[in-house]
Amino acid sequence: MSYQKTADIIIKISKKTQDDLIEWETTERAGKYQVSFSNYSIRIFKSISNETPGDDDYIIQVINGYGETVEEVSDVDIKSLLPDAYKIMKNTYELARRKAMGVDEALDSILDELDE
Amino acid sequence: MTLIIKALRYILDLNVSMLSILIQENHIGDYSSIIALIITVIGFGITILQLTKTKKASEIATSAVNAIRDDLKKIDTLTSLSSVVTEMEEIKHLQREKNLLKLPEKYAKLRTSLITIKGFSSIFAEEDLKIIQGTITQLSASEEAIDIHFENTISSTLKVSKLNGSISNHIDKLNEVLIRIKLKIGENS
Repeated sequence: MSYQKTADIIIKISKKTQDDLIEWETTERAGKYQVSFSNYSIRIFKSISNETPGDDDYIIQVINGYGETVEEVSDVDIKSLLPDAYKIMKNTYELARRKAMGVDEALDSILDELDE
Repeated sequence: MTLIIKALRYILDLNVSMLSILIQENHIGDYSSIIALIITVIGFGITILQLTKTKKASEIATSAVNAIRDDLKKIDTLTSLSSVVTEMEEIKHLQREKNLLKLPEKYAKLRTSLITIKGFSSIFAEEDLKIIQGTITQLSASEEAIDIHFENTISSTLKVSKLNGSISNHIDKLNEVLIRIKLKIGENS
């Protein structure tokens, strides 16, 4: 099965997350974040790797308008198509976490008050 | 004027031959044809004017009916979405009480309601659709999390605080959608 379209989505999501153009939010699970579009949602999370113990796999899920998971891929699944998949998805995950938790807003607010 | 008085006198006296001579000598037939033509043209113009006015009135009426229909649709959506928000508050209460048995059914019901509400996409802005889609995804994932919890209680990592935190986040966003719909009611009338 080809993951080319999923790989394209991962690259675009990564770029938009870096540019702070998409709104990641927390979910019912710690360490799982989601962003929604008009008819689909994307979720990102990490899980313990089966291939390299002690390391994490990064996973992306595509959820349709009925709340059903229609696609789930890990960085391992797409590394043949996207050699930097691990690096890209790890970076996206970290940025999504910061955005969803409001880390930057909190730090900016503290810095502002410390500067007063 | 004299011609009209003469003509009237011949008509009253029933003097048809004199009336006929009078009409022929003064070319009254030609004039009356022209006058009749002018009256016909004016009449036709008035008819067109009346039809245009009627069409405009009909268009205004149609537009008013469409605006009322749109408002009714918005009010209906507002009511349905408000019910969803109320039920989400109830879910938080059940989760706090760890009354989990009823939850999967409630999650599924709310998800179905939101899918139906989302069907009225003409009412919503893109931002609203994203919020509703996000809530559908969240409800579906929460339902699955509760089901997994029932299947395997020992290794379950289900946390009520996370479930409720997520529900609260979506309630806040749905309330923003409700306000936006309220502001749209009556804007087309």
